[in-house]
Amino acid sequence: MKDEGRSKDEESKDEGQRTKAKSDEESEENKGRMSFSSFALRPSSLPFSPFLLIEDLVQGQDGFRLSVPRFAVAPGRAYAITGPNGSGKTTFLKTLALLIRPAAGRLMFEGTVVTGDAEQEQRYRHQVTLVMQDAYLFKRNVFENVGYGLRVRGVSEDEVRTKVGRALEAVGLPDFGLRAAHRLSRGEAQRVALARALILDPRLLLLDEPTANVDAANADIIEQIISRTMSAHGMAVVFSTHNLDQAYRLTDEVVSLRDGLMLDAGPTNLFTGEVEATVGLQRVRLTPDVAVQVTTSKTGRVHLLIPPEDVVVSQAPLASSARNSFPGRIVRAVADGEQIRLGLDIGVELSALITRQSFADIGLMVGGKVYVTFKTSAVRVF
Amino acid sequence: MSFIADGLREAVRLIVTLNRDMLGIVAVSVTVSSVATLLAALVGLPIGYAVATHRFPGQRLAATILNTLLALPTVVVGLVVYSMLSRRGPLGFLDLLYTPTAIIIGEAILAIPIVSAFTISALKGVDRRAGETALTLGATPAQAAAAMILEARFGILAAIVASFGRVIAEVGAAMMLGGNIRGSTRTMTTAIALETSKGEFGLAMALGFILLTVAFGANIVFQWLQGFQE
Repeated sequence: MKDEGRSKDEESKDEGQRTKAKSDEESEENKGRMSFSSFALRPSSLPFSPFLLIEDLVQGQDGFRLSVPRFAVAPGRAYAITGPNGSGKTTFLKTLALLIRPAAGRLMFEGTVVTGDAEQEQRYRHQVTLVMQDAYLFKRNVFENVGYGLRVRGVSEDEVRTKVGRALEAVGLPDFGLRAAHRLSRGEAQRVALARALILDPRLLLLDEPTANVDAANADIIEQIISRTMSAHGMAVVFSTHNLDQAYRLTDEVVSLRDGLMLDAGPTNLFTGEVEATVGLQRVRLTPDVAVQVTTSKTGRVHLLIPPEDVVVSQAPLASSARNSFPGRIVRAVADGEQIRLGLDIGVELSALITRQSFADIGLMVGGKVYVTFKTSAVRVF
Repeated sequence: MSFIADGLREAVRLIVTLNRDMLGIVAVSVTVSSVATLLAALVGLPIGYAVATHRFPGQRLAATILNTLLALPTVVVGLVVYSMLSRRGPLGFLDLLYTPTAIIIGEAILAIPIVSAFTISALKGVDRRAGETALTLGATPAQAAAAMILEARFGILAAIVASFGRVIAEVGAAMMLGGNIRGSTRTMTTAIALETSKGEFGLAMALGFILLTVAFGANIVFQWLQGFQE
């Protein structure tokens, strides 16, 4: 079954290669057929069919190794890459922007392998742009910076003028065109860099720590611009951040990188619910049967984040001050360095991080019944 | 001692009255030096770019050689080009010796290492992210290279101005290759040397004053451009 599927996939790819020289209309048609066949093969990818797919990516530089088994980007979706300094966020974004070539693995854009083909790489680069942390502005005026990408695409000067004007307005710097770029404040410079990227109307916008070196007021403006353009243009965004609040505020998917390894895509222990306040007690109901006690000043709909390392797993109910305790079952155990990441079913799926030693000591096993406990103060509400 | 005062008086007179002989000499100097500088830029810029931005075997050696050539003695350049262009030399049939072209060749050879060495340091000073930024904005590798050169534009212009300053003040190669022929290859420097030895201090001083002004001017422009690059 699987083999059959693969040969079908390859067939349609060959066809794609053959018809490359033909008219755009025809290749559009071809694309349609391809996504139909991948839909038939992978029904799970139906709701957000990815246009960018990374598989088995390995990136090595100066003893550092980045490894990303799979990363898919769907149109109009936002992804946050979180992780401590040195975890490989920048390397990953630079690889996505093709500033660094992957040592192994492949990058597919709209069903075509991009890496290693100069023509495809250039086509891909025209659809994807990266705004670096502490962005570099050319030593020219703001207008020429923002118009640069259009000019290298051979866009007419009239159009460049109109679009630059609009782009500067969109980032709230309408009269900045003739200013020297190197005299701007950091926040202003970052906004100019954002305008310079957004003017290209990219399919995928990559942002490396977009608000890291920027004052609070500029950071707010930058966040607003990001969420506004995403909803307006159906552009996909991948950005890195230290700031988990920002990650969850702006995106639907949070991916974490640690020591160059990309962990499970998707949010870990992130839940959404309504705050139910009774006297002296605040709870957020996740399902009709599961409610988590929290302390918060927020009301209405909130996000909850339960750090996996704060979740205690035991064979028997714990006699402790922790207010959240649930019976559950271990559904998964995955080694993650010296630790083991447990998937727990307590009515919702919860992830816990424990050491290999304690996993062995208390005799846990997949399928086994356990008690899951965490303190009210461990639950982050935003 | 009065010859100095007389010479000065005569120099002022020549400059104020815009003496035609004097202006002719200045024109030859400026023309020859400009063309030589232009040629040196055409050759020296690509060399500088290649050494600064590409990795190839012998790259450091190339950079060292260019830096050493900055100290190239002008009379040695004169000697080498002379032996090439003289009647009995391999390029004697071109009949170029004692023409402005011969001076231009010698001075261009002097200027190429200057343009290259300054271009290398200007390009090395450009932030690596400039090229990367261009690529992320959709530039082709060639367009990204152009963007980097544009970022170094003040430094590169400074390199060109510096080599103009060097060749216009140079006397050895100009004398040996041009021969100081009046109206043709007589430059400011060769005229100063000759007029001084003849005891004609007036013209020598007038030309000396103009040469100083041009050389200082070039240096001021050079400093100004370097300031911009930072």
